[in-house]
Amino acid sequence: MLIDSRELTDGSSLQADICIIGGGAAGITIAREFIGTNNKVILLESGGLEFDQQIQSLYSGDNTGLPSFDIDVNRLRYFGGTTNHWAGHSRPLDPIDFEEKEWMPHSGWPITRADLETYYQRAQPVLQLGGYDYENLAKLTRATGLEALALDERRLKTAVYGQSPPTRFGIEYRNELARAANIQVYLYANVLELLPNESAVHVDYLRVASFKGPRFRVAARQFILATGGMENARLLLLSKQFTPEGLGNRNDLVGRYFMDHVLLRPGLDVSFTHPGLQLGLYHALHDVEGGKKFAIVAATEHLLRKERLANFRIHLYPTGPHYKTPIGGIFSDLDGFAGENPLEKTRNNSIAMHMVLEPVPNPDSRITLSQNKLDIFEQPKLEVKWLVEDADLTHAYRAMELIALEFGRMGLGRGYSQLFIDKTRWPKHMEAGKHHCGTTRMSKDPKTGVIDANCKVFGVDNLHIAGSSVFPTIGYANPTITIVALALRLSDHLKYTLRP
Amino acid sequence: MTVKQSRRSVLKVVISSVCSSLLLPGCGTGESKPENAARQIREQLRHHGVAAHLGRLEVEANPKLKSMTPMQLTADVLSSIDLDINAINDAQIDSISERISTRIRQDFTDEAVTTVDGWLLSVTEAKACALVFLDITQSSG
Repeated sequence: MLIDSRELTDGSSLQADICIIGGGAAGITIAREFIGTNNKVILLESGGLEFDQQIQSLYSGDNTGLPSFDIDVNRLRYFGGTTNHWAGHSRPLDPIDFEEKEWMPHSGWPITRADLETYYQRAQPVLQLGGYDYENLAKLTRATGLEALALDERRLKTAVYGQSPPTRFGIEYRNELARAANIQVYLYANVLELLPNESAVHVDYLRVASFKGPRFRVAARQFILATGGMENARLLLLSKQFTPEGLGNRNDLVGRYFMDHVLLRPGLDVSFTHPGLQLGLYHALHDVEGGKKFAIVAATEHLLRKERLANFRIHLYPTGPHYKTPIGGIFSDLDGFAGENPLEKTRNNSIAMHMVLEPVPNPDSRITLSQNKLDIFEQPKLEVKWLVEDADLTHAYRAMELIALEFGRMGLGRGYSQLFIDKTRWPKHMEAGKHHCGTTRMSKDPKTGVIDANCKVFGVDNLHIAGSSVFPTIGYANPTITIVALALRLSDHLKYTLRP
Repeated sequence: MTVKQSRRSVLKVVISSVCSSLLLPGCGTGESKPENAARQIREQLRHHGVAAHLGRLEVEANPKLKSMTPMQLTADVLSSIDLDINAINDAQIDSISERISTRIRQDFTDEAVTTVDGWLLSVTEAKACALVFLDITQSSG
């Protein structure tokens, strides 16, 4: 059932077994998992069914970190959340992404990739991704008749990426939730605060408001915070009754370790010297067993361990003959193609290598509450300080060097990067990946994380968190499929917790 | 610094192009075998203006190169492909292109590379560029 909160009576009290805060990928996935169960579920969504600038403005805040981070454009605050404009790129995190790596401070999940495997498989149809074939490159090359690059398999690999249509959760699953007798979706319901008991170990109810509408409260046996990588932390920080530092924040970790992928688009331009080079496997979408796939170039585990690097991936996009000088063709002869000038032979003579780099978790990269700016509900706005470290720059340089080395080794081209001109600073076009993670990180220890392996907030017995804010490290993969997999896993856990 | 190509250099390039088209290395110009080898190395590079630009930057970044004559640098490049400038024969000169190609691939495998003006180049091809630059500047008087 879909309900417009603006039509509620002021001062209403709602009651449920489970209250989900946030109607994005995580919240909707969990709500769907409870359709037809004996549990009454309330899902609270801040926005309506369509984009509304006034509601969206609740996401505004200040950026005090790197200027390349844009706080206002990444997220969407209406039913379906940010899936309303996500690109659809999907791939599970690599097993190594879950490990505690001695060369990467603050790394390590309390769960493994194996713990998530079945949930990744279950996430596949949720995201309309077709077959679960991320490790089956041969299937992709057979289906397409296209060859993968002959990469040095100790260092680099061609990896399979999935492409969701992309699934717009608010559209795709709206009717299903509207029809479900035990699910109530409240639109225009803004959670202002989580109210715990006096010892702050149990959430009693939520304080909720509709813009220019009623104020009401929601009580539940279990609460799930699923409002995204930044807002999850903000809501905990806003919940100060009996916990002035914020709910679940006894160890001053809420909001810290704010991460986003580091993007360089391009990180490297490879001017290729092989006139017949075909890269369709990488830059085109291919239909394989009911889903769309494409290929990327990524680091191998062997490379990451040997060189103590952060994980990274590279997208390959032909760019056409954009160089104004003939520098692209200068070395063609040296690769054994004497007399061939690729500039004359092919239009697609260069490849833009778009790099997506895993950042090193940094406790000083964080979100906090503004000291002086309030939103339309008179609540402190967000302040975001996105930082990257020197180590990230070192990793980016080496990643680009490795790709350039590999294309040289294969005799396919030469790489140009602004990092090769100045390795001490980021190129101006460095940007954030719009994947907000880490602010309520998962850990086995409350001293190093906000939630445990079951996504339950340490020290609070009925509050769980879903979404990318729980990622302690983020690998190179886009987060949505992992968000959905974790949401499915949390649903199973809650079903067990709520069993009669 | 602007790279000026001397008339002699331009003439050499023109002559070599004509000779290449006639498949007549050296073409009876009276050049010595080391000079022929040097030309073979330079001619691996298609666009000499660009090569000279990269070569200048490589020379400026590498004082050792700056003190070399074109023949010394030629000897150095030949040495890296197992050829002796003082004992080189016609068959070996004919093999320079293939040897350099193989050497460059190996440079990338061995990470024997350098960055020049934002490009990651093998040290061998960077030296080839430097050779073009030195040849132009030192022969222009």
